[in-house]
Amino acid sequence: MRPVVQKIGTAKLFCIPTDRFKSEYFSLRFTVPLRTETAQKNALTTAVLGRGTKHFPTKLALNRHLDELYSTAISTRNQRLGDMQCIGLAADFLGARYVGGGDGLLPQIVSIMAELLYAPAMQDGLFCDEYLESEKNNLRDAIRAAINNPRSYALSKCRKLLCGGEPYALSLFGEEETIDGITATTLTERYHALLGEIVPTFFYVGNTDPFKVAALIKASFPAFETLPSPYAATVKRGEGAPALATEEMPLCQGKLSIGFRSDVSLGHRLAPAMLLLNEIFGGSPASKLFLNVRERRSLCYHCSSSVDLYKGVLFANAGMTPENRTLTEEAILQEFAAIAKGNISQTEFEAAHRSLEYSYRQVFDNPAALSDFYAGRDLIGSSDTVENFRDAVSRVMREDVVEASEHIRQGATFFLKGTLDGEEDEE
Amino acid sequence: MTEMFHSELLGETYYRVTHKSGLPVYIFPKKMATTHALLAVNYGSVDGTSDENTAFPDGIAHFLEHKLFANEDGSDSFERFSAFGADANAYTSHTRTVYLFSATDRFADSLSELIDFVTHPYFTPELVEKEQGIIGEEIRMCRDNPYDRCYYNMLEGLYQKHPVKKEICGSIGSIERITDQMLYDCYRSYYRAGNMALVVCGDVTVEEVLMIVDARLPEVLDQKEVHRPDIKEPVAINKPRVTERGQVAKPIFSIGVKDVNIPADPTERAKRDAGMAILSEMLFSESGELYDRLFNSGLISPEFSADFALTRDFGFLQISGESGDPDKVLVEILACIEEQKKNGLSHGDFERCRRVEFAEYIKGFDSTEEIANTLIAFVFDGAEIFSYADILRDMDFDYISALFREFFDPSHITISIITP
Repeated sequence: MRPVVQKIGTAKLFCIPTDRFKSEYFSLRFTVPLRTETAQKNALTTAVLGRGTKHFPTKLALNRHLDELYSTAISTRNQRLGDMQCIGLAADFLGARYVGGGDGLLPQIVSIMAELLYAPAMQDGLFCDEYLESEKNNLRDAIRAAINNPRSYALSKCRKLLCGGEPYALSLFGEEETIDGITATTLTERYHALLGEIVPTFFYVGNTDPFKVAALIKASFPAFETLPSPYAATVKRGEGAPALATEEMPLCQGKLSIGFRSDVSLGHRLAPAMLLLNEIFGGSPASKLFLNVRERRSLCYHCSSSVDLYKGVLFANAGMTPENRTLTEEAILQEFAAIAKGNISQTEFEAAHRSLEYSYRQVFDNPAALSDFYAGRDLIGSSDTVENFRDAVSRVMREDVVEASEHIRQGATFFLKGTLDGEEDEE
Repeated sequence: MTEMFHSELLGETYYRVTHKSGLPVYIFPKKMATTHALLAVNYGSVDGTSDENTAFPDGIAHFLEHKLFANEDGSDSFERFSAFGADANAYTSHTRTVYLFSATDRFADSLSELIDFVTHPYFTPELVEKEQGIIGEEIRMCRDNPYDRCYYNMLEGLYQKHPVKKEICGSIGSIERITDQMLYDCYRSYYRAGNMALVVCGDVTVEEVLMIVDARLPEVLDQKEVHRPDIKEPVAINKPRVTERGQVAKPIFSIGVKDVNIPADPTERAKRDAGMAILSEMLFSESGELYDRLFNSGLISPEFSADFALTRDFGFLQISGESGDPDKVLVEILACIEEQKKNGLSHGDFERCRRVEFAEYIKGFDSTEEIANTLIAFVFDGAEIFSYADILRDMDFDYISALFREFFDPSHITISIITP
């Protein structure tokens, strides 16, 4: 299941020809530098574009059109990849055999995606005020709603502490204070500037001939002639003492987030070892954090780790009774120290390998995950396939994991302290 | 005897076998990289009594689910699954407990482990005590989750007696009363062959699966009928409005509509379920006029959803979202319902929304995990997964119109709000 790759001007199209799914998948994404001045406007532009197009000028008309296309859902993406902002659209739609055959829905999907990006509903050449104001309110709500989810709130605060001053620390929604200043004129200007930066990576999974997919894109999208923004990410080891911060919230639990930095990112020789290290540390139910901190010591219900190889960062997250914060923090750091000392049992090591092998095999059942893999590799200039990356992971030895651990330093700890009495009982 | 079910529409076939141990086995061969298997028990948080009619502490079904992974030799089944490269998990809902794994390799080892650990309970006072700590943290985590609070408060508003309103995890106090002996009693009361089912979906054959089941279940399992108390829930709701303060930036709400006419016949129930799916799509989806009006006026945030849940003895529609004025959202919803009762539903909307449901149903057959989970839901509700396509095809506008008039009785509606 290797993709067929074609160039469309400076853009790229990855096709995975297959008829194993009942639905088809088509997505596009582009990556631009993540900056304070543009991140919020990029997010707002994406939201306003979703409000209506030239032919479907309202959200209602647009949604009904998508319903007519057999309940096609178009999702948007706004994520950080290293120090870049990645914006995208993706559609999951019913395959040709269920919609009367022929070319199926793909021509209409490609067309509506191009229209969403290049022919938005406008008034006198500017975004409609009504849509802009409504989306500004939604953006404000979304920023404020960060406190609704304590776990991701703590993680986000830890990320900011860990990479303060770097684009990676910025919020993808921007800050609330700057929303009011955005007008239809300034946002439309940003939109036009953004159009100049868009060099998409397209991704298609389905049984339409790849050359036909390319032809459909060429017919609906403008020619792509500029070069994409070069990929950027500051990747470095943590230095000095970890940054520490605590906040209080009226919650029963405390949320602890510990951030680590390394100089190992996706293209590094030790990248596969870093993935294995994360699996052993807290990436699965066979990990040290799950089995030792949760199961053996009963300190937490959730205690896990995650790695972001675009930036070379690792986070350990846990939720516990606030009084157990120190015990939990020590336990998490002890587990990390154990890995650094090579204290990894054969069972732990093999389980981590099997878990990653599973991850890279089950990707083939998931078009969105395939798209993430290939578009991500393309972004950093790698031509890895899922198969050869999986092979690279399978060759990682215990010494490689220990070596990877030497590249990692703790850089930040954030604790969200719950101030409610969790023992009260309503029975 | 093997029973075969085939869908021309989907090009899919699955098989049902009652294994000699008494366990019903469903095998859905499908060429995918991931094989998904689940061993489910028709037993959830609403089933709270033993055979002797003594009440178990709240949260025991979920507690049992956690503790079943422990083995007599001191090992944990999670670790064993990991050694086989499988991704294992379990969950407890209001009505069922499900043990599951996904695997791309060594399927036979994982399936053997799944059957072994679920059929070999092992509890000790020490293990129970340890788990009380972990689940206690899970309960605190849920208390801090405003969406969970909003949901349970809505159920508290809808139901006077039905245990669906009790939290699936129980409370810190209730789980402290759980003992190893209670877990054994609970296990013996509900983990019986006829009250369970094994579902496998993936690149497997019927013979392959049955050979493993034969090897792991050489003896006949407990065949006794499961005792399930008849829950007499009054028609009237408990409270029309429940509010609580929580850690939210803007109020969130869940509006609940209680279903008071649940058909006893599973086929009728499946039809009602399909009808309500179409109806909620017509009334509350982003393609509906109500959403458009609420969203354009800024009364709701973009995330707004409606879901219908129907089981043998409880059913409700939940409409959730975020709003600066949830009570006004309810007023608008009630006005919209009244208006449509007066003017009638739109036939065009009905056809569009039926098509949406149809498309979603077909798309669901692209994932072995989704197939297995949907299949078990149909099995435990006494219905058949492929027949859902026929139900959607044969659904008529008159049925939907009648359902609409009957279901939306303003006196069966409650609103739960979490305020900042």
